Amino acid sequence: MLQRKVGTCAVALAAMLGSGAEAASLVVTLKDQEGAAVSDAVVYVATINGQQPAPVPRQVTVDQVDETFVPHVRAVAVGSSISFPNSDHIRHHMYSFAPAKTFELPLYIGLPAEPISFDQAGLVTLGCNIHDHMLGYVLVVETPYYAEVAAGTARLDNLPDGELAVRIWHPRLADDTALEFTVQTATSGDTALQQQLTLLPDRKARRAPRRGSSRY
Amino acid sequence: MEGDTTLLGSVEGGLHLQPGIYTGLTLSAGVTREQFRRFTGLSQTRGLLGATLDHKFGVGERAPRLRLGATIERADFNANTRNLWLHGIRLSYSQRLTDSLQFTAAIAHENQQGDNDRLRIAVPPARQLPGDTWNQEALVASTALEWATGPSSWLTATLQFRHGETAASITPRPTILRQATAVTNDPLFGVGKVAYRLDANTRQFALDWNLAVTEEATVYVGAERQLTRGGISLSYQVNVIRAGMVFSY
Repeated sequence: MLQRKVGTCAVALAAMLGSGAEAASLVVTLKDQEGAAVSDAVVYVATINGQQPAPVPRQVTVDQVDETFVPHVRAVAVGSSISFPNSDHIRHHMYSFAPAKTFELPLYIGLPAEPISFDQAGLVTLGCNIHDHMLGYVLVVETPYYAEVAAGTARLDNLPDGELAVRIWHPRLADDTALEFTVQTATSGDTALQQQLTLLPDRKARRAPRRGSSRY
Repeated sequence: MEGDTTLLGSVEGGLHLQPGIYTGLTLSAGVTREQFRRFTGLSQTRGLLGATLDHKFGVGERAPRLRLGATIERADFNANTRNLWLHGIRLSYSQRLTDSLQFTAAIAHENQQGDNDRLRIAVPPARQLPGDTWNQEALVASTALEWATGPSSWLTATLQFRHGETAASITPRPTILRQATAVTNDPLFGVGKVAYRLDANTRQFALDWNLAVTEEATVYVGAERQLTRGGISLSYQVNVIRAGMVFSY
C-alpha cells in the first residue's frame, strides 16, 4: 500500500465560477520544481467526508509500443481488469512481482488471451523480462474518483459535495509516497487544486546505449 | 615511448530472436574504421559477424544472465602485412546486484590468423624464426562493474587479464629475439624495425564515465592502462584516453 503524507503541503484552493450543475468537479494542475507541466501522475479521492467510496471496476488497456508501456502510468479502481496488448513487432514477456498483483505473461505478440484483473489496492510495477529497460506502473485505487494527469492537468467530475481527501502519486516522487491534501468542494462547479511536485530525475540511463555492449 | 591519436567510427546492426522464454539469440554484423594520425599503417577497417546465445535464469531485471558468443572478424590494415582474421568465443555471466550496480565476469578465447604467415627474415643469432607474427592465440578473463552515479550517468570499471601470444615492434636485439616465437619486418615504426611475437601476460584496467544525453545517445570519456610482461625483463605499457558518442536506433 502507498504511504501518505497528510496535510503537509499547502493547498492552493480557489472556487471557480459555478456552472450551475449539481455535481462538483475538481481540476488539478501539477507542475514540477522547474515549473514544467507534470505527466504520468495519478490523482484520486481517497475519502469523502471521511467515508471511503465504493470503487467502480472498468476494463482498460496498457499497450507496449517501441519497447515502452503506453501509458507509462495507468490508474484503475479495485476490481478492474487490464488488457496488455503488444503492438511491437517483437515479443515481450511481461511480469509483475508486486504484492498487489503478481503475474506473468510469457513471450507474446499481439493480444494476450485474457485481461488481468486487479483485485487489491496498491502499486503494481510492470517489467519486461526480455527488455529490462521497460518499466510501467499500475496504481490500483479504492475509489471511483481518479484520473491520470496528462500535460499537467486532470479533471475529476461528478464529485459529491464535502471534504475530500485527495491524493497525488507520481513514480518519481521520493519513496513512492502519495501526497495527500484536504479539499472542500464547492457546492457546484469547479474547484481548483494547484500543486508543485518535487520529482526525482528521470532515469535515462535505463535505456541508453552502452559502448561495446552488443559485442559478441 | 610513442604516441598517436586515432579517430574511430563504427556501425553495427543485428537481429534478436527469442526462441525460448528465457533464451535469446542475437545475430550481428558491423563495420569499424579506425584512422591513425601518425602511424597511418595501423589505420584499419574491420568487418565483424557475431552470434550470441543468451540465457536468463528467471524473471526480473536482477535475474542473472549467461551469454555465449562467437565472432569472426576481418581486419584490413593500411600496412597490409598486418591483415588478419580474428575468431573469438566468449562466455559471460552478468547480474544486476542493486538498482545501481551491475556485475559482469567473462572468459574468452581469441585466435587470429595473419595473411602473411609465410614471410621469413634472417635474424641473428642463428635461429630461424617463423614469420607468422600475426598468428596469435590467447585466453582472456575479465570482470566489469557498472555503477549508476546518477539518473543519466554511470561509471564502468573493467579489469582484464590476457594470457597468450602478443606482438611488439622493436629494433632487433638478441636478448629479445631469443624469447620471440616469430619475427617479421615491420617498417611501420621505422627503418630496420621488426615485429616479434612472444608469450606474455597483459593486465588491463579501464575506467569510463558515461552520460546518457537521450535514451538513444550516450557520450563517454575513459582511460585505459595496459601493462604487458613477457619472457625475461620484457615489459611495455599502453595508455589510452578516449572520448566518444554511441547512438542506438
